[in-house]
Amino acid sequence: MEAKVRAFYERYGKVVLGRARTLMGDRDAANDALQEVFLRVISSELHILDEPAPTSWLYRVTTNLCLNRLRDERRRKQLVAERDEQGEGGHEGAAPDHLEARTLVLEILRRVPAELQEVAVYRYVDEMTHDEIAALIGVSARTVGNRLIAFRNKMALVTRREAAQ
Amino acid sequence: MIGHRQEPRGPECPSDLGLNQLMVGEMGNAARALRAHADECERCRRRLARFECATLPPLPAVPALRVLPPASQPGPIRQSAPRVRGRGSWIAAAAALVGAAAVLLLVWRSGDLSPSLDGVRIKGPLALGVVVQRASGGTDRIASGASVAAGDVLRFELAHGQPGHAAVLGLDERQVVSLYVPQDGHLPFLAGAGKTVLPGAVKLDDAPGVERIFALLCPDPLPPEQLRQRARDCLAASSGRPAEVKTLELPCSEAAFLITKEIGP
Repeated sequence: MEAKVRAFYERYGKVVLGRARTLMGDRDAANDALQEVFLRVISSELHILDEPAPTSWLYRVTTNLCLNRLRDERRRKQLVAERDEQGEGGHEGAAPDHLEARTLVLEILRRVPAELQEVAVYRYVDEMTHDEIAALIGVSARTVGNRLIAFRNKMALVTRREAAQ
Repeated sequence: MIGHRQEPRGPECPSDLGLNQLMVGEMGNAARALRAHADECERCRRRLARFECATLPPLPAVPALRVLPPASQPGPIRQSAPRVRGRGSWIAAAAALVGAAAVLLLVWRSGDLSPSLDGVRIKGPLALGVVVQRASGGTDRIASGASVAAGDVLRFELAHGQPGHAAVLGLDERQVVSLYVPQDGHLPFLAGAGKTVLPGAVKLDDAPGVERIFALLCPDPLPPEQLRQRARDCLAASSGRPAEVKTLELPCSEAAFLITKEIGP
C-alpha cells in the first residue's frame, strides 16, 4: 500500500503543491499542506488511490485544507503582518502571483462567512466560471450564482461598515 | 471588488484546475487543443510551467494501514425512526426535520445521491457522503476537511457494497463522542448493496474545532454504548485529537470524514 501511495504522490503531488502555493503563498506553508494532504487525508481515504481522475477531488480537498489553515487567527495575523512589513514583492519563496492570490484569499477570509469563502476563492482567486465551480463542488450553477450574490452583498456591507469607521 | 489579477484569465484559457488536469493527463481528447493553446498563450504557458516545474519534497513514511476481514451475514432487520438528536444548543427537532427534508429533496432533485469522490472509505465496501444544509441558506455535498458553521444541519448517506447495521459517530476536540445514528438505540439495517440516506439529522452546536465523523456498517447490531465507548478509547489513545483517530478498530466496514466547525469571521 505504501508503494501505491508513493506512486500516487509522484503523479499527483504537484497538483496539491501548486494549489497550496497559490493559496498559502510561501513554499514552506505549501509543503506543510502537501504533507498533510498525503499523510492525513490520503491515508484515511484510500479509495482515492483507485480513482481514474482524482485531480478535482485533490484540488478541492487542498483548497479546504489551506483555507482552514489560513482561518486560524494567529496565522492570519502573522501573514498580514508579514505582508505589511515586506511589501508585495518581499516574501521569501513567493512569486508575485502567489502573493496576489494570497492577498485576495486573506481579504475573503477576513470579510465573509466561512460558507461563502470557498466559492468566492474559486471565483475571484481562480477566476473560474459559475459552471466550472458548480461542477467542482457539486451544486448547480444557479446555486453558485446565488452564493456569489450573497458574497458580494456581504462584501458591500462590510466595506460600508469599514468606511463608516 | 476585492482586487484585480495582474494577469487576467482570457476566455480561451483553462482554469488552474484545468491546467492541472492537463498536466496529469486527465483531459482526454481536449488535451491536444489545450496544449496548443498553452503554446500560444503566455499566461497559460507560464502557469503550466509553474505547476510542472514545482519540486516535490520527499514524502515521509506513510502510516501503516490496517485491513479487517469483510463483514459476514447480517442479523435481523431493525428500523430507526428519524428524529433529531439533542446536543448542546441544537434547535428543536421539528425545525431540523424540516431542514433535513429540504436537504433530501434538494439532493434527490439534483439526481446526485452517489457517494462520489467526496465519500470516504477506510476499509470495507463503504463510503460516507455528507450533505450540509447551511444555516445561512443553501445545501452542499461537502468534501472531507470542509468547514461548517454552528447551526448547519448535516445528513449522512452511505454507499454500501453489502448489507449491515449502520452507525455514525462524531468525535470532537472537547473529547465528546456523539452517536448521530442510531438515535433510538437500534442500529438501522441496510439491506443489500446500494445507497442509503440515514435517518435523522444533526444540527451543529457552536463549539468550534475539528470533528472526526465515522460511519460503520457492522455484520452484527453492536450495542450503541459499545460503539461510543470504543470511540472514547480511540480518542483518548490519540491524545484527544480527533483528526488523529484513523480507525475505531471494530469488526465493521468503516468510513470517515473530517469537518471543521467555524464560529464565524
